Amino acid sequence: MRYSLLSLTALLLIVQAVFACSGSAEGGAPTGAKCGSDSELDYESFGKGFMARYCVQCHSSQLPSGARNGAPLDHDFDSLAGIRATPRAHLEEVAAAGPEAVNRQMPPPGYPEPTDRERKQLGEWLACGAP
Amino acid sequence: MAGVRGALRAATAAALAFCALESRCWAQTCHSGFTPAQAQGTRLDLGYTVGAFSTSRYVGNFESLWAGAEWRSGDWSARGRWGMQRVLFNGLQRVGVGDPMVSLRRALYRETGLQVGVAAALEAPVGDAQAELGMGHWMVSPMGWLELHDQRTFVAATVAYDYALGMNSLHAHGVHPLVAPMVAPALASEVMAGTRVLASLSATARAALQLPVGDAAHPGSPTIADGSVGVSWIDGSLGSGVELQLPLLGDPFTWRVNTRIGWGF
Repeated sequence: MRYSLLSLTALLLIVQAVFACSGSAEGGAPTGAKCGSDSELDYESFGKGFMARYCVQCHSSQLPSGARNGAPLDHDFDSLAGIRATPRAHLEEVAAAGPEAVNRQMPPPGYPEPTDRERKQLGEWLACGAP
Repeated sequence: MAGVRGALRAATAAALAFCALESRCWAQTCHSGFTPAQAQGTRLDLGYTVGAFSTSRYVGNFESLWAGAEWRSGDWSARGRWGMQRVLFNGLQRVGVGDPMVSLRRALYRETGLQVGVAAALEAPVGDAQAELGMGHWMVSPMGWLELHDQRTFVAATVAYDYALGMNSLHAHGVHPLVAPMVAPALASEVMAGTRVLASLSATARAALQLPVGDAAHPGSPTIADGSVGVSWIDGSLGSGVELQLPLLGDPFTWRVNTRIGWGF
């Protein structure tokens, strides 16, 4: 019995030691985007159009669950209220850009993709609180 | 008389083995669970799991077709399982291999009608976690187990400590909300009971519980409980079983059915 317990303990320790550092970060990174004092981006001038071009094909409150291509039911970007209801850090880390990172997890492959400049604008708009 | 008793015990033990369908399934991921005593030798299994889930964020269904093998000699046994998975959530379908699992088990005490032992299971992050086909991290589950049985009935229980390696203590899946209800580290326990209703047919019932512990036990971490009922049939070296699992607490699955067929030699 003593040897079996020791064997199992040793096995667990070895596994822990070998694989303790094998995890990988999921999703994107904080972009470091700032809200400039001269920022003119707001929902009407930027957010609405950006979402319409790149997001609402899947992230729309008008879509039934089977037509969302995997988009969560609580992530709807066809209104400013829906955008603001989504954690800003999540939006930033899947689609926005800034001085520290360019995140391209969204949109998924096969869908129109924003330019890096548009992603930077998204980061700035989110940093300003999505006005 | 002793021979008859031994044969009945062997039949019960074999039935137990096939009653033990996939255990401790949280969301679309099944961890190593209870594997009751059986005859010495090797067993090959094919299994199929299907279920449906509904949460505030996702609606869909899930299938898994897997193959497994178990080898037992004396007090030791080793087991492995791997399979293909299909998951459909909010209209998006993903198909691919899941996370393989291996486990090693040791009986520490064996008397007529009672066994106590320890085990350790390891799951590897082979399945694509971004596609909801795997957990995305290694997971180790040391556990203790106990089994009581007579010629007709049995009761078995396990207590495991599920620990995700290479992850934050909180099982922060982020973009993998289907398995988000699973937390690590967690204490996971299951209790299973069964009885032979015919010579080759057994009925079983099982309850499984997962409790977040340590850093994972913050407000909002889900406690998950499932209940199951099933039947198994065994004839000689062949056996099969089917089990219906229903969520009792915290599990996003609305139902799950496990089936399995095995051949021992």
